[in-house]
Amino acid sequence: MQFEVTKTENCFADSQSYEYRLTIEGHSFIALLEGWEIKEHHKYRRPLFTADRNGVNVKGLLKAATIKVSYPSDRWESEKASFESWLSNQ
Amino acid sequence: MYDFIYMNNAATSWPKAPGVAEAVAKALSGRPGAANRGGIERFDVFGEVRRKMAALLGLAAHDHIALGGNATWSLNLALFGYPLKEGDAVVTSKSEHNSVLRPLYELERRIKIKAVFLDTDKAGRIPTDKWEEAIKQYKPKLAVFTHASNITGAVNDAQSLSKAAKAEGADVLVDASQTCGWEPICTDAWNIDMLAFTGHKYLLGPQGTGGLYVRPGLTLSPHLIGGTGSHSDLRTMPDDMPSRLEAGTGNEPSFCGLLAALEWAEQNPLDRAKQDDLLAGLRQRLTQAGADVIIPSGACTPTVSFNIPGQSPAEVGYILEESYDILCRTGLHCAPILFECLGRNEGTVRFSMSRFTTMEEIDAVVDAVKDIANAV
Repeated sequence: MQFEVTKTENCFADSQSYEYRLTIEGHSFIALLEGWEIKEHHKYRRPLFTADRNGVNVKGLLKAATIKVSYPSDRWESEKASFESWLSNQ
Repeated sequence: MYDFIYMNNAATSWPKAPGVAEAVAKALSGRPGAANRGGIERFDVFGEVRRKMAALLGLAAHDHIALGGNATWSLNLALFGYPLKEGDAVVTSKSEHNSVLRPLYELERRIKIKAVFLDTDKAGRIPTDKWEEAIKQYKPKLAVFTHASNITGAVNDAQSLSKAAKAEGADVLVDASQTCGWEPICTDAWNIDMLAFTGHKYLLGPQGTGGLYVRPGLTLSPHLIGGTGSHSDLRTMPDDMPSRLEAGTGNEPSFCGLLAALEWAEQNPLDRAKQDDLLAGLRQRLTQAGADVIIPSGACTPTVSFNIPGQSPAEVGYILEESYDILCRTGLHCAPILFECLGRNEGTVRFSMSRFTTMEEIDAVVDAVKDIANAV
């Protein structure tokens, strides 16, 4: 899968958050996630999902192609490389 | 139904005052004024802004207001331009924004000043009695405090804090970023030596506008050095204010916008009682919705910080923005050490209203917070 990525700025300590624009929407994306703890939230105005694994947090709207990924501050580079490698191979 | 709800006015105001956008556009398409500098016949937007700001800030010496890009510019000008030397003490508070904290950290590194960061109460307000004790104990050369917390909205008793500092011979620098245009400010009457403000928050002007008042008799070293349109033969910056602190061409279009905002505000004074009712209602209803709200007593800006138990502020902010189109601020809000006093290490979610915030918008944000709190 092709994707675009950009760092998102925020006001939290040690934050390593990135936004990814995918070619598929959130509901299709979470179907690709194996071994992640996935939660869907349908009570919000626009339903969204969260997915967690090994300190990496992914969230996005179920009907949008942009996701936000937060990496753990102590190993964000390796986790980011790993996630993006996995994403490229989807 | 709404397109989006803007609850981040403590960062920058939106919408701007009526007439601001038109004034900026007119300045951009019209003949520049500042390039030729001076002349009675020529419209001097900077001079007009200085006069109006002097009236708003309760000070006589309008020509002692240096105009620049923002409050950070102003605070840097004040802190790096003030004659501090090794060993001098500066008393300030943990409620300060990074635009004060980081320059002070830098001064600790560069010239080994002693900066004292005083605890606030649990609502982010500087306790006057503790401030007086610290002033007496450290005998600072300079005392610096924010007029209001950008996190909780708690307004400090600037008059008393200034009086205590002056009693021990300190000069006083006030960061009025969060109050200018919302709270009354009496610079001369409160004996304030320097006051920094921004034009784009509660003054409802464009980004890229701000200023620093420096009392007559206090001379700062200029932070920026260059052309002033005056005394061009000198090899140094001129001594006279405001030229001494204003090198380079000013942001004329944005200051035309700020002037329009100031003129609009004169014609449309803030209905403070109505705003205080809205603020009280928002706090109460967020609490009822399940949020843990910081509620300072006394005077406050229209800012509410809260957490939803079981949810990180980042998560809540994400849901509000992506799922509800509610724009707010989450995290440490560039005032990181205040959280030691608030006891909320993860930061907060912050809603900050403006005079244009409606009851319908408050209904919508409360409903959204209720949805999120109930989902935990």
